[in-house]
Amino acid sequence: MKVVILGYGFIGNIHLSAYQKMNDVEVAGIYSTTKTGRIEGIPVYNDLDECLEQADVVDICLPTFMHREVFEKAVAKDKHIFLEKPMAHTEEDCRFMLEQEQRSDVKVMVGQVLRYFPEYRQLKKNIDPEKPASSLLSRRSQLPVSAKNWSLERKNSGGVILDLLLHDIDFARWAFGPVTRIFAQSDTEHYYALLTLRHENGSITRLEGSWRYDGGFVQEAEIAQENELFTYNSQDVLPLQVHKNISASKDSTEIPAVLLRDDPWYLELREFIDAIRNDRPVPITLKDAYESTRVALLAMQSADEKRPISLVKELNT
Amino acid sequence: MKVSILSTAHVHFEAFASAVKSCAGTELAGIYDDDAHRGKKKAADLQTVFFENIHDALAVCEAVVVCSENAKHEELVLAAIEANKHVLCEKPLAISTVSAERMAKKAVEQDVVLATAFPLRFNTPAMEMKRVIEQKQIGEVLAFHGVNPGQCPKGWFIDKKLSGGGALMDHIVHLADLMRWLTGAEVSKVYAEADSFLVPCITIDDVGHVQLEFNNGIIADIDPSWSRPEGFPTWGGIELRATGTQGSVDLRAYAQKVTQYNNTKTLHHDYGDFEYLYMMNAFVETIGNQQTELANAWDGVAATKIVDAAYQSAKEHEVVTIA
Repeated sequence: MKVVILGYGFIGNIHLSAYQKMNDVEVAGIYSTTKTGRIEGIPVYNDLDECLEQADVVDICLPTFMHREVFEKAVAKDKHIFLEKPMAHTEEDCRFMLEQEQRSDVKVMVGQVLRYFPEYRQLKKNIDPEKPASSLLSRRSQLPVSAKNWSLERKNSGGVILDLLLHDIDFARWAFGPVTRIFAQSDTEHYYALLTLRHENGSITRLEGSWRYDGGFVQEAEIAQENELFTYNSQDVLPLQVHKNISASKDSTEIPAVLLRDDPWYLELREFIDAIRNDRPVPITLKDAYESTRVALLAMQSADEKRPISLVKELNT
Repeated sequence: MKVSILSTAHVHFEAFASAVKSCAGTELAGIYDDDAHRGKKKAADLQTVFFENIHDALAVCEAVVVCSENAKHEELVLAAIEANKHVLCEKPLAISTVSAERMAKKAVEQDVVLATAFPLRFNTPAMEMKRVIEQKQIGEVLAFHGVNPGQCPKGWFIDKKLSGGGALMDHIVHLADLMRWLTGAEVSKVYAEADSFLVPCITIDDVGHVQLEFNNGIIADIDPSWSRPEGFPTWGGIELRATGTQGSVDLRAYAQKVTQYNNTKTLHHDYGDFEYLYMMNAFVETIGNQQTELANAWDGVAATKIVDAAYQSAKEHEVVTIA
């Protein structure tokens, strides 16, 4: 199967490594506006239409604010789409993309990759789905550095709520079900945010997202249910630490250290490729990802308007 | 200075008694308790006098520690103030803002010290955090993230008539006061979600998720939940992260401990400084008209306002403004 990767930033690079482990996938091209020539032997295209012609499957790893336009072109050319999270940065773009998808026959999967992290799968597997939960989910890193620093601008990326905390919002929906009430506060730049979510089953989830943390990347989850408590902190479970006597250069975007044979990005892309190959439904649909994205967008609205926002029911569910 | 302890109902009684006995400036005069059986036993354990009548306990001291059920604070505090005694009262100062204000006003009228027991102000790591913040080592503070979870203390704590409320009443005030103390700012807005689903067979709130906004724009959250099951190796803990424009500081107020395992359980042994002793020193110094970090009655009132607002917000699902 031929895949093209659209956008070769930090996440495009991770996806390329994942595809290179798959015997049945060929990366036929990479679309980039900043790079030329070849990357690991793969031709780089500066023309999007030309790049789209090279494959049946496209993997959109471009900055969030460019998703809608590229998604529309790929759907028009009947390409199956893997779309990096967040699916889009405005409600309008999300709805437009949902309509485009519904009118087509292509498969679309969104990279809500936290669902493929085994620690979060363990949490989901071991909680009691019949009982409400009181949870704290936290995700913290330094300010990411990206091409032209697009992700630092709230209007392009959605800031820390949409770009970073969406991971945990999606996990909360996946584990505890639909959200009925949202309250959020953030700093002016949207580099730090505190969210409270109430779920339909009574669960309460509190989230902290920070791009202002210099203590090393951390993802943290604490889930309490009746007579039960689950805790996880990525800094407490590092299986291998290398300490050097030279000052190390910092990664541009901090990600969790994963020491697993099949990393979460490989697993999500493998399932996507298999869904196409076997013509099965994708594990994380655009609609499902939209519900999480919508919670993030409403959280941003709550922070702006300084009031809780109630959802009677999530869209059409 | 002779100190009587009024009531032994609260789980912090032992810490107070130990502080009164070990503080150089204080001497334990005796114990009063409206539960004579309980009071006599505690007095015997501490080899001190038990008084069945509160006035006898007040007659032999210059100051008191009030360590009763929350709902009985006002009655005991007012009795002590009327007898012209200085008072250190267990937190929360009262179960409602109006009650707390009555107590604070009475202390002003009688010109005695009424202090609220917020021992975190004397927690050595927390004091270092204050220095870090005041020296602007993390720039300007933008946000606090606080957790103060615990095991359900059961007993009168889950009887609303005596406690005034559950986890929110029990655990919001420590971190709320710590944030006020660290920044000098006041809480202006409160949002809370609360429920009762963690501890079986109780109806009082055991889950709380509270967000705060301060009058200088700082945002904050607090988890006061009784989310630690009985198998958890310790009562709970207090953690607070301050995020600033140039860094952040992570406080784990009770991290200083060694762990012991045996065939049946896990135990923690604290080795940090005993903050109740330093709070007791400050109580003595405050009575001697010295400037200290001790939380006064109005700090207790401010914390109670936040708790009141949290309960109101949880009921109304709206942001509650504190006047």
